Amino acid sequence: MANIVGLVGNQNAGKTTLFNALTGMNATVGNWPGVTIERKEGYIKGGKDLMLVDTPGVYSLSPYTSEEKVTRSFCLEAHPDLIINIIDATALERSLYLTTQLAELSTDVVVALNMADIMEKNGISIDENKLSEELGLTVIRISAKTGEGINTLIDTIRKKTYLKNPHLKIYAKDVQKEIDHIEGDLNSELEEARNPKFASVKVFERDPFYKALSNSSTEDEVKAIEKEYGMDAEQIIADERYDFVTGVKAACSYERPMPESVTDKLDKIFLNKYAAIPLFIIIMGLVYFLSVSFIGSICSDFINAIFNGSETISILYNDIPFVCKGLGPILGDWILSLGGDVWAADMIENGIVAGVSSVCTFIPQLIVLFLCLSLLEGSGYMNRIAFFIDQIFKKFGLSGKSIIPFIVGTGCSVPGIMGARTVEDPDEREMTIRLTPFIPCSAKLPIIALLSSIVFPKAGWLVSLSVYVLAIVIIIISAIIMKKLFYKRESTSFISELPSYKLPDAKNVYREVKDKTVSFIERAGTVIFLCSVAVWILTRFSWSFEYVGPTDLYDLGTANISSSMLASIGKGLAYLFIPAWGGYYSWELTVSTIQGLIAKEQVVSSMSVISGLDVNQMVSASSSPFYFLSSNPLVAYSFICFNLFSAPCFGALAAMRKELGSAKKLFSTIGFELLWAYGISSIIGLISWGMNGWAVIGL
Amino acid sequence: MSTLDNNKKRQNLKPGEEGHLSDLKKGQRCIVLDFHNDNAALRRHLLDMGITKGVVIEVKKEAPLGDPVDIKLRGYELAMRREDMRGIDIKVLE
Repeated sequence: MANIVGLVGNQNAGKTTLFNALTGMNATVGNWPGVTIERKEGYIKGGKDLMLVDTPGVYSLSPYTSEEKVTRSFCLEAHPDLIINIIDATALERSLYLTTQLAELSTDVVVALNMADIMEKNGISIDENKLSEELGLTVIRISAKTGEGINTLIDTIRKKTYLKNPHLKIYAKDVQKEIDHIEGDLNSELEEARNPKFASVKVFERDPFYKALSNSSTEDEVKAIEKEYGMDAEQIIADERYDFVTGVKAACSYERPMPESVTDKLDKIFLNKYAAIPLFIIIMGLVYFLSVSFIGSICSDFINAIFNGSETISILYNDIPFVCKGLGPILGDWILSLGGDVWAADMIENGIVAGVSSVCTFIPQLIVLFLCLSLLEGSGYMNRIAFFIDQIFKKFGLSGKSIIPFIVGTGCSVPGIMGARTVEDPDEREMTIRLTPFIPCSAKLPIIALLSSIVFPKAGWLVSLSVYVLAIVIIIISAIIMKKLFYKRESTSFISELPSYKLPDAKNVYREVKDKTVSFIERAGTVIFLCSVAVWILTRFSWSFEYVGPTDLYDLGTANISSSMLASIGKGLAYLFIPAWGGYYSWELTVSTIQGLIAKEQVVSSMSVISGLDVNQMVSASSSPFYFLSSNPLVAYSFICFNLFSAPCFGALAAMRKELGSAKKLFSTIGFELLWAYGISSIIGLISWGMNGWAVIGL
Repeated sequence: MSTLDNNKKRQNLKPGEEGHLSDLKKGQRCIVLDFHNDNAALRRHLLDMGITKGVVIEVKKEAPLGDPVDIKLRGYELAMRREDMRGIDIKVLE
């Protein structure tokens, strides 16, 4: 079996970059603290003997956020064979504070002194041999980014040539004596006593986790020491650790005074009293414009044409002749020419290809959106957003850090929900998790894009923008309601590092965008493929399993979809949606909405499968059940709202279940979201219904 | 918790005077004298971040809306809310 090597360090110390350098594997890298959201594992290069485990960044082994608990339990309970402690040369004291704790574990520790590449630039010089001497640990100077020292590090680990059993003299005599005393008394049968040195210090500090190891005489002795020092035990230990670290730093490093750093100069602009928020709005607007509007207008029509055929396509809002038969029609004709049945050709052309293509159309937009998000994170700007938005979010009972899950949520709710782990306060964290799905994720873009082109063909962007604004309003109101009703605890806090601005590393950005895009395409290829087939079956067959689909592939009007299974399911539920759809009794809209629960991308592809029309035809063809929407823009808007704000897709639900920790909390969140969605869409629908003189259509 | 509004009731501290970290203006430096906080977890976390007796802290940046504040200590920068700084007793330097 492979030896387990843990990678432990402060947030933002470069753990994930080092992980990639050591394993050659892909793992997400970001510049905002806490980007490692799941434990990542991989073999260290050059064999399968060493399994490297990446852990969330911590400042100490007394966990503060739920993410940090992962690291603590890894160090204490997972029996790693070795810990690589990555330390940030530009924040030596804070890094070494954690090192003093790791050195007390029964596991061997190797120190990787990172950021060798920017040390000089920051006017810092560190003598790593002296540092090693002071700590009694092997110290290897590396740069995770440039690869300097990585091979030396791997060799040292593999050949086990590192120093073992360090004896740090951290504490004053009387404190040390008491700690030794506690260590002698430890009940070694207890699980908690596994790392005796560390456990003894924890007993001294009265860490609640180690309560079972303490006794009344220890308590008395600790009290006496506290009285002598005029501080409580926790403070004494922290003080002495930092005193030790300050001494180590003085002995082995030298800092030149430096002129104002680039980061400080940039912050004068990005954190400027007047410019900060306008700049933020411009940057986010640019991200949206680039990824949604601009790229969409270049690529979407073209990709759609490749799949479904066309005569002209629109590029940058200009119609360009582009005659193309399209993959779907080609396959359909091919099946017919082989003597296949109409239903088989229909399944391929109008089931699978139509379904999958409606999603693929949006892939270029996703790539650009993921790229922008990756740049925002990697550059360090995301931290600034959290920093200056905190004052506003605080008022609604949220942390400034909640903005990061929200922004990431514009790409996909799943990483957004998981990213909420960096929010320290449990209440704020739960609220953030519950609210993130209200942000329209990229999978909802097809719905917005398609329908906004119906509502205002000339100013679709205005509708898109209004939906995002509405999402923000809903989040704010929800947060206030939640805070008033369920999360009444007052005291919360915001503590965050402001890392230096960095030029995002091209390799990391590339990896991140690639990973996210591939996983999206995988979903489109599997879930959406299967769903498309399922929807096709449900729309083409009746309950007695008679084929009711088109008998002529070129005339979908020959189909009798209203007697299909899906129609009868939708017909039942459609009554509920009469107010939301503005008095329109429509099983088609209802069924598409239900599809959205499986995956939001499904809403549009379901509409296109049901109507047997491609995305563009659906808007204009009067045979389409969605024709109603084009003459009743408010209902189209209501349809957008319901689909956007109702329960998220199954993937996001699973992530929420995991992060909230209970099914009950998940269901209350879904209920809350459905209530919002139904409420808002009903209000909009009722207005339209009233304008139509309360006529019920389609019943 | 008290509902003291830091933006309004902030004291103006001169070098040599004692007060709370939350009173400090941008550019001022101070030394930490003592540190107490009702929220045990938060206190623990701030100790871990290096806010211990005798450490020198400089207020470097303010968020555009006045809060939170970015402080520099032990060679790195940390952003926190003024209300979380209230339990930190300091003496202004220079």
